[in-house]
Amino acid sequence: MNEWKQAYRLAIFEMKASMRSFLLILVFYIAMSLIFMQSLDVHLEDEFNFFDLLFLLIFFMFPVWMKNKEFQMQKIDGDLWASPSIIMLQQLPVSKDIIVKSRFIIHSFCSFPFQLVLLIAMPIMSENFREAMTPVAYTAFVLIWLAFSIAIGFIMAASEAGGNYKLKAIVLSFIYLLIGFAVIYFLRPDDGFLQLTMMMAAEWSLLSIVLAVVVSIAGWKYWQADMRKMIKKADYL
Amino acid sequence: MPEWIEIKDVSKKIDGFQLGPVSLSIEPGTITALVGNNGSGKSTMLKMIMNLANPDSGEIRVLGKPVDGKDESWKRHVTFQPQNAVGWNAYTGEDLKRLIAPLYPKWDEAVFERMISLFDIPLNKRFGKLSPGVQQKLSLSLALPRSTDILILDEPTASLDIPSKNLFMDCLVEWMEQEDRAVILTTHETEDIRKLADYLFLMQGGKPLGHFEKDILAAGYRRFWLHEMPAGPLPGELSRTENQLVSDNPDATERYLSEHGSPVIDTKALELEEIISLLLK
Repeated sequence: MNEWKQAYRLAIFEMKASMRSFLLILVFYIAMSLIFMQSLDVHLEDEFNFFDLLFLLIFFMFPVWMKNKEFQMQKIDGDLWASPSIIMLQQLPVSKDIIVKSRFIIHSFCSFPFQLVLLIAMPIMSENFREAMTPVAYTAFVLIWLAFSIAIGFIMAASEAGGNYKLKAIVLSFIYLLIGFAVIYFLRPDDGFLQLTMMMAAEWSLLSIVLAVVVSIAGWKYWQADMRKMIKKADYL
Repeated sequence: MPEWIEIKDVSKKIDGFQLGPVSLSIEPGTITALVGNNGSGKSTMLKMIMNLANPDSGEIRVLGKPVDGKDESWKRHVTFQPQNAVGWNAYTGEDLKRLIAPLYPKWDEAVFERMISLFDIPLNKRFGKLSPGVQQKLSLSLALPRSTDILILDEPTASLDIPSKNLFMDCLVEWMEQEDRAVILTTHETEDIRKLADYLFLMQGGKPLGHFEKDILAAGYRRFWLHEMPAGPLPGELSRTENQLVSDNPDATERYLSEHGSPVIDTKALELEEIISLLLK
């Protein structure tokens, strides 16, 4: 508990240093996203299939881009890529566990409020969505997407530990990312991910809630352990 | 006396550059200067002490604790000031003090305020907006007040103007006198070494050349002016010109000259800079 308290202090410190730009970007992204969300009804009537991929991009990537560029992962020197804060904190009497926790708190600040706005906007902005969801189903739906946010989105928080990457490795990872997007696009269910999760939440509400909670806890713990391992392995030279 | 920092057979390969194996012990109450050519591995050594990089082999202990162990409490006793402060740009000097001070139980506010006033540092400007010299002054002003047992400085005076350099050296000497403390610093400035260092650890191309007590090293090299240069090589002879001879064993050289009836016109100890240049040649 004491570690979380210290991590919170460090996280708040960083957030304060970029609060004004963070709030501006947050408002801008929320406005953009809400304009985009107006087409949710069109998507639910099966007339805008690309909505699904755009939604995934907004849901997972906007929180990453919301961070001030001074704190984002960047090239530090030579082959070293990392978030500068990771290097700064390691030179201070702050344990690796606290560093990891502070990064997760910051990522939570950047992702959860924004993602909740998106999820809350859905029933407000779409009649089709409202009709398809009971209150319990909607709760399950929100938890499913928050579980995705942790299990997938927190890869970005963990990756801030960085490491030593040659140009070849960076190019390869971009190629893999593009292949990943292509695979997601071609293998996605006919109605899209969003409708699939709506269906899961409506048909198997309780099971979805339990699974979402389990995946959230597992993702939260796994990515923290992964980040600790990456910090230990990296050479911050 | 127990060692505060113990480096045992540490080696690391980085992109074809082989550092070490290096062994070095740092005792309390001493200032050790790591001296070497550019790219000789000095900064990498310091970062390995701080566990910012992993050695391929060997072990580093700080205050008896392995730096790569689970117990990271040793960090409370160490201040590290790198050549370039990474991650500080978004913060003002005031922010940085508020971040750093609570992490060190012996933070000395009076020292901080004195250094800020001596160096005339604006605390309300973002670190990234300060000139390299002012950035360095602020980093130093945030280093000494931590009052840790061990202070590790990577080229602390590289961007400082001459008056600031002298001010900092005075502050550091005063800081050392307060308690039993140990300092390791890397530097290319002979003035820093001459004024501050007790020991010199010389490195070249990643290999250690030796760990020397400064005064013994300085007394171990002399230049002789001779009427007539003897034909054969002399004991301790390092180099010779027409009537000058440099020796790293002055006693043996002098004895030889006196035994062979070669009068010495004059002798003079070599400057530390010359000795280091000779060793790093």
